[in-house]
Amino acid sequence: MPDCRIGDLLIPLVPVRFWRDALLERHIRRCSPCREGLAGIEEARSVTWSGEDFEGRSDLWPRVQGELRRAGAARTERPAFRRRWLAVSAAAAGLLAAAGVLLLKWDQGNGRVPASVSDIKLIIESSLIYDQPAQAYIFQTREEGTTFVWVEKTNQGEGP
Amino acid sequence: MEDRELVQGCLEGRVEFYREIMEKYGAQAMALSMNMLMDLQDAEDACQEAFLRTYRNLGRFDSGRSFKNWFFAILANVCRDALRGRRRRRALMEKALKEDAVATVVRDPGAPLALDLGPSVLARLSPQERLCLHLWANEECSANEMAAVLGCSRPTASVYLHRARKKLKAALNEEKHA
Repeated sequence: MPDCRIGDLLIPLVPVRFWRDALLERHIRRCSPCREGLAGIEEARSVTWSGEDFEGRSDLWPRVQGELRRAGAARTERPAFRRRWLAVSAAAAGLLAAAGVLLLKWDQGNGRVPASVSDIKLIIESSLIYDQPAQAYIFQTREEGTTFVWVEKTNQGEGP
Repeated sequence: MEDRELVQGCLEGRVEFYREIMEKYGAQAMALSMNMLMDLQDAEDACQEAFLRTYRNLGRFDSGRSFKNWFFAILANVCRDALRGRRRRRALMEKALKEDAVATVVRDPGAPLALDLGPSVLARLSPQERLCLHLWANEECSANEMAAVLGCSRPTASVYLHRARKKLKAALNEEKHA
């Protein structure tokens, strides 16, 4: 099969993306060796999922309907000024929380004895996300005495 | 019923019209998000989020444009966000595992720990390339329509598609000779 390197050369030689892409597009349209090295539409279809694969298989409506109702209710209940007050209150609460954390850190840095990390016990016996099995990770950093939990869905990668 | 009429109905508060939109585009949306995310649950989550985002922004929809392309653009953005989230999660996991900071792993019995994608031919392409390939092969989009979904220029969309087809051909040839 004849090989054309013009496409590969254009990429480093033309730094302006728009020009480079325009030149590449024009070259590909006219260069038959370049076109021969491309997968055809049937090959692409054979490795990708299409709408037909999901026809009648996935009903998202029940999941979305509840959210739409909630969104609709929230929209009718909250006039603009009320939303502004909510935003102001949330910002104030955030500031207070940040101030609290800073004060606590400052306090701990001034000789008070912090609670021992080993005293804190966190046990997760099972984890679910939307009633589906999930996997939980408990992370504990060495220095900071911080523990955080990450829960992740377990079903990965289904083929077409 | 035309998309424009369905959108108008939704804007007038008739939620059942939105159900019709979802039934019309649900399967196509799942296919697009599966090709980008390659995970069934993530794809369902992305579709749900995209349909909600679309509903909230129906008022901004320009009826002179194609609803399908507008919705696909929103869905592609949601999928990109999901991929960014996945990358962040992986980086966090890798860091935590490297630092030996994982105290406990509570595992669902029988569930695999693997986070990597399967060795599929499609996985060799970038998500953007997979999106282009899908739009071209399954939705039969033109370069202009692809550009509208991707939010880029037409030549850039063509180049993405060219790269995707080139990589796919190489991968298929490799598989054939293996």
